[in-house]
Amino acid sequence: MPKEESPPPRWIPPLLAVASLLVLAASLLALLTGDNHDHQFHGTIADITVNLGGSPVREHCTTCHTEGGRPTWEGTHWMSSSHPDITPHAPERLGCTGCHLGEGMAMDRTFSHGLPGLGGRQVLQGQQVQGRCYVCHELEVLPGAEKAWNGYRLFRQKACYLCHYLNGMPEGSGFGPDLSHVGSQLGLAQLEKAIRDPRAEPDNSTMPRFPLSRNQVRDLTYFLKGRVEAPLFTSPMWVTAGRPAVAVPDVVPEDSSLVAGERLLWQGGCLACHQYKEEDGRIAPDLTYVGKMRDRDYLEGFLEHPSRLIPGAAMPTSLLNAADKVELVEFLAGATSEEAHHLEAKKVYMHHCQRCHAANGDGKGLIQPNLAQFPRAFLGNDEFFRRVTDSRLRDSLARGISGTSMPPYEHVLSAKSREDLLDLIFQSFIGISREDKVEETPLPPRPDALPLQRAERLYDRFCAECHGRSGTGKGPKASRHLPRPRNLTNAPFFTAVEDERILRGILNGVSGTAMPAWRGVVSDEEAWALVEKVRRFSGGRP
Amino acid sequence: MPPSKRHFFSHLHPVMVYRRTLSPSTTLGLGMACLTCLGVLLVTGATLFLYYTPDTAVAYERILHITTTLYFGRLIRNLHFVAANGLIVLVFLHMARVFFTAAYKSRSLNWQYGLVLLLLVLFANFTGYVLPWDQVAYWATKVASSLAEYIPFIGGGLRRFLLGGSQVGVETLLRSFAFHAGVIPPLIVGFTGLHLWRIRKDGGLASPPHQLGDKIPADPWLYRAEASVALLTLALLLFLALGVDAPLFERADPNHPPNPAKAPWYFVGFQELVGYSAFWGGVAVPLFLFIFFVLSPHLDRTASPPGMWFARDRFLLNVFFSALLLSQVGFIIVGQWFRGPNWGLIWPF
Repeated sequence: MPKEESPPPRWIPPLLAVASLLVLAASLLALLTGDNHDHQFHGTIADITVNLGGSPVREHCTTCHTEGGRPTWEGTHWMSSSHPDITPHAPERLGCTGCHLGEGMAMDRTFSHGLPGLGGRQVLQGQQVQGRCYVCHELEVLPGAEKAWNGYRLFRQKACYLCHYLNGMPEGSGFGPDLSHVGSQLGLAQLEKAIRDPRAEPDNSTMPRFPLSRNQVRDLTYFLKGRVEAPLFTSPMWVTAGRPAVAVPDVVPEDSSLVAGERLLWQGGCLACHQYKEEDGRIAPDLTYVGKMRDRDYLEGFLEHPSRLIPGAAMPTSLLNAADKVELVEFLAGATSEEAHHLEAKKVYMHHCQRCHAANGDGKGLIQPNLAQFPRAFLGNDEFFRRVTDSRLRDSLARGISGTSMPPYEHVLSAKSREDLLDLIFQSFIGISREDKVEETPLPPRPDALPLQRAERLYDRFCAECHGRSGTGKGPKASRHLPRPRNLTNAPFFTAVEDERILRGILNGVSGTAMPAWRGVVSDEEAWALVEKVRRFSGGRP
Repeated sequence: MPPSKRHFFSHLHPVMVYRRTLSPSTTLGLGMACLTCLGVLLVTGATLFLYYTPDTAVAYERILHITTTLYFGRLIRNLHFVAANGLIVLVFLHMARVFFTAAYKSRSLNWQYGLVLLLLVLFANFTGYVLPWDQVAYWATKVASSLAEYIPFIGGGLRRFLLGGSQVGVETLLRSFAFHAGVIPPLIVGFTGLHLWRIRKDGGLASPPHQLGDKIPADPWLYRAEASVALLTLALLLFLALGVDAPLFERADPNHPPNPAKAPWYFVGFQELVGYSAFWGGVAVPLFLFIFFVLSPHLDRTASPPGMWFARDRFLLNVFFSALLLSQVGFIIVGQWFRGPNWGLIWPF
C-alpha cells in the first residue's frame, strides 16, 4: 500500500455545519416559542396557599381571576370583575378550588379548568357551586344550597338509597355502586348522563331510567357532587363517634287519609318505582292488586329476597325493619281493591297488561326494561301462539308464571273476563284465531342412558354463548337478543315446567325468540341429556 | 500525537480509525444517537427532579406546575418525554444494526452489556411512566405490572416488588421515583461506560478484514462525525419537543379504569399477545425473545466476518430476527390503535 496521505472524508465538515445550524435554529425556536406563557405573567403569578379543613391548598387561580370574577385581558394586565358577595364566607380565606374545583396549580386554560373525561375536577360556576356546599357543611337545610338539598330530598324520595350506599346516611345498601365518593370522581355532566341514561355505560346496568325532569336530575347531580372522599366537616371526633344522625327529609306526603300501611309504601321507598292506585313510580309492577294475587308468604319472602322468587329481579331488598315489613304485608294482603267484574276486555288489558306487554302488544311496555324476563310479545308473534296450547295460555293467565313477574289473575279477574281478554289478545294483536294451532311433531321418548358427558361439551359449544357457562342467561352474546336468553338457573320457573316442554324448546326452538331449533344438530339422546343439564342448573323438577 | 492534544476522550477513541468507520452506512450513527438521548434525559431529568414530589396527593399538581407555570417547564418535560421514547426506538434500531451486521461476533460480552442497557432503558421508561399520576399513568402501570405476573416463578414476587404491595398506590409512586431518578440512571451511566470501553477493548468498530482500507486520524474526523450525529439528534429532539406535548390526562382515579386500559406502548405488543393466550404472550414469547437475544452471539456459527451488512450465509438468521422484531411492531400497532373497549377490534380511521 503506498504511504500516501489519503484525502480526509470531505462530507463531514458540511454535515457538522448543517447539524450545528439545525441545533442553533431549534434552540432559537425553543427560546422564542418554547415558553408558551404570556410573558406578562412573569413575576406576577398569584401563588396563594389557603387552609382548607386543615390541609394547605396552593393555587394560581387569581393570576387571571384577579378579583375573583370572569377575567378579561386589558392592555397589559388581566382584569376581572369582582366576586359576588358570599358573606359569611370570605373568598380570600377560602381560596378558589375549595368551592369551584379546577386545578389550582395549572396556569393553562384547559388544565386549570379541569380536563373533560370523568370530569371529577371540572370547574363549577354560578349555581353549580352549591354542589360543593355539603363538602364542608353537614347535610342540613342551607340558604344558597336549596337545589342541592332538593337533590337530597329526591335521593330519599326516589329511594336511591335502596340500591346505593352513601357514607353517613342512616341506611343504604350495596345492591348498586357505592356513591360515597362519587363527587370526587365524576363531573356534573357525567353524573347527569349516568342518571338520565344509566344503560349508556355499562350496557348491562340494571339501574332503571327514573322519570325525572331535567331540573330534578340537575338537583340530584348537585347533591351527589358533594359526596366526596374526605368531607371537610369530618373531624377525628366525628369519625370516632361513627356516623352522625343526618337529617332525613320526610318523603310521606301530608295527607291525613293515609293509613299506617300506606305510609310504609312511601317510607319504604316502594312508590319510588311501583304503582299503587294513583301513585305511580313508572319503574316496577302495579301493587294495587298484589294482595289478591300473591299470598302472605310470597309477599314476605319477596320483600326479604326478591331474586329468590323472581331470579334476576332488579328489585333491591327492602330496608324496612321486621315489624314494618309485617305491617306492610298485612296492609297489601288486606287491601280490598275490587275490580268491577265483566269490565270490557280492552279496559282490562289497558289496566292490567299494557304496563308490561305494551299498549300495542309488542312486549315493550313501560316497565319492560326493568323486568327480569321479557314480557311475551303478542304482536307479530303468531308463530309462537300457534304452537302453544290454549290450556297453557289459560293457565298462565290464571295462575301466573312462577319465576317471572307475570302474576296470577285468578282472584282479580273472573273466568269470563280472562276468556274475553285472551280473545281480545288473539284478535287485536296476534291476528289468528284461538283454535289455529299447528300439529307438533312427536317428541322422542326419553332414553334410559343419557350421554351426559357429550351434553356438557354440546352445551359449552352451542348454548353457552347465549345462556352462559353457568346457565344464568348472561353469555357473551346475551345482550344482542331481546327477549334475552332464558336464565336456566331460574328454579321457580323450571320447577313448574315439564321435561317435554324443555325438550320441545331445544328441538324445535322457541318462536319469537333467538332460540333456534337444534333438531338435526343434536341427536334425540343428546337433546334429552341437555334437558337433564338444564335440570341440573335449575335444581328443580316439577 | 503530541502530548498537548491528549484529552479525556483519548481514552475512548484510538489515535487513528479506519476510514470505513466514519462511513454513515457502517453504523448509521445509532449508538451516538442513543448516547445523545441519554444525555438529554439526564439533563432534563435533573431539572424535573428539582420540582417533582413523589407523593400521590401532590404529584399531579407538581406536573401541572412544571408544565404550565415554570419557565420552559413544558419544553423540558416534552424533551424528556420525546428523548425517552426516542431512546427506546433507537436502542432497538441499534440492536438490529448490530445483529444485521453480525458485529457481535467475538464480542459477545459487549452484546450482553447492550442487553442489560436495553432492559434498564425499558425499566427506566416504565418507572417514569407512573410519575405524573394521571389516569393513563396509573392504569398503564396497573396493566404492565399484571403482565409481569405472567413470568413464571418470580412473576408474583416481581410484581409485589415493583408495586411495593399488591396494588398500585402510594408506595408504587415512591418506589418508581426512587428507581427512576435514583437507581437506574447511575446503572445506565455505568453500563454505558462499560459498553463504550468494550468497543475500544475489542478493537474499535467491527469491520470485515477485506474492507479495512486506510486509516485517518480520529482527531478531528471521528469527533466531528460523532458531533454531527449528536447535534442532528439534538435538533430532531428539540423540534419534536416543540411540536409534541407529553401527554397528561386527568388525575388518577382507581375506581374508573379507562376502557381499554393499555400498557405503555412498548409493552402493548405483549399485552396484545396476552389477549390471545396468557401463556404464549405472557411467558413463552418474552422468555424466548430474551433467551434468543442472550444466546445469539454464541449460537451464531456462520463463517462470514463481522461488520458486513446482511452477509449471505446469515440470510436465514436475519430473516428470523426481522420476523421477530416486525411481528412485535405489528402487535404493538394492533394493540395500540386497533383495540377498542373490552379489547375488541376497532377500525381507527
